[in-house]
Amino acid sequence: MNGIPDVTDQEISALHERLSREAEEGGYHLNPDKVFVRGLVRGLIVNTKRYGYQSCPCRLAAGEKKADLDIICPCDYRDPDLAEYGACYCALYVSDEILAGRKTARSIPERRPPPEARTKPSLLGTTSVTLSLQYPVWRCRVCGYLCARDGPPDVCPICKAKKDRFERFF
Amino acid sequence: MRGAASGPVPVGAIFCLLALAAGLLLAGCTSNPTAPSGPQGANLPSYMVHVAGANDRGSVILIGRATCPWCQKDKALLSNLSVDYYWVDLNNLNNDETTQVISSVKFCPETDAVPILVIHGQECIVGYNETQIREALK
Repeated sequence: MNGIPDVTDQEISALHERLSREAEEGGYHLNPDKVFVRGLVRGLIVNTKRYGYQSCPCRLAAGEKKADLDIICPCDYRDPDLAEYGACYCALYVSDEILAGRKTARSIPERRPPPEARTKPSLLGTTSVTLSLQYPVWRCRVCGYLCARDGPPDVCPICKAKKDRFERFF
Repeated sequence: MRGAASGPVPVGAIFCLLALAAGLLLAGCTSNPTAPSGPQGANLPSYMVHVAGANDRGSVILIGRATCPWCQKDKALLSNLSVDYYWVDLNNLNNDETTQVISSVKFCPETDAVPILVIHGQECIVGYNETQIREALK
């Protein structure tokens, strides 16, 4: 577990290109500072090689997927941070304003709750609406995408988060 | 970022705890782990990399990850200020060592994110905050 796994420039370029494309397709933007982003992408690859999933490069992973689900990039906190600060915690994802150079990405406060308060919030049962649905409704915890089907999709069509980031909404 | 932490933790405690995390016993650490003592000349754990600087502000430790760009910004700022400090790259630690190092700085306002800059064992700046770091290292 010691040391940093090797990462090639090609690996970084390939993931950078894919993340950039997927971000734009979903209405998100990567930070225009390419050197900065390559540093983050390298961190994502290192974490993937180390843990088996791409946990946030700027947070400490527990090394256990279940405990780190909320900080697998894109993290559960990206969208609220984009709305409030114009960038996610790492500043990998940025707002239109930062992309256009009208604002600068900066280090922002940590939104992730401390471990003792980090219970998985389930939205199930929090609504007072009583519905009789033919299918259950699943919510992507990363971007809020909703879909009605027997089970969640393998990959969120909006933000590309994987199946395990979905929770049953109704 | 969150403000500086309150509540003094003697400088020596941090070094002793970091050292103990690596299984080393430093002189002065076993009898009184909270005795104030600096790192200079001590037999520090190998993961504490000394970054020499002309500006000795006392005990300054930066805990982070080489793969985190904000940590690199912290390092660049410290170098720019010629601060003499110790760098701990969590990438080089196993899970147990990481837990122990983080436990030694539990007085920080948050310890789930990096960079964590510990100044004099009692002030803690989490995240890259140039203004706050410059102010703390005046």
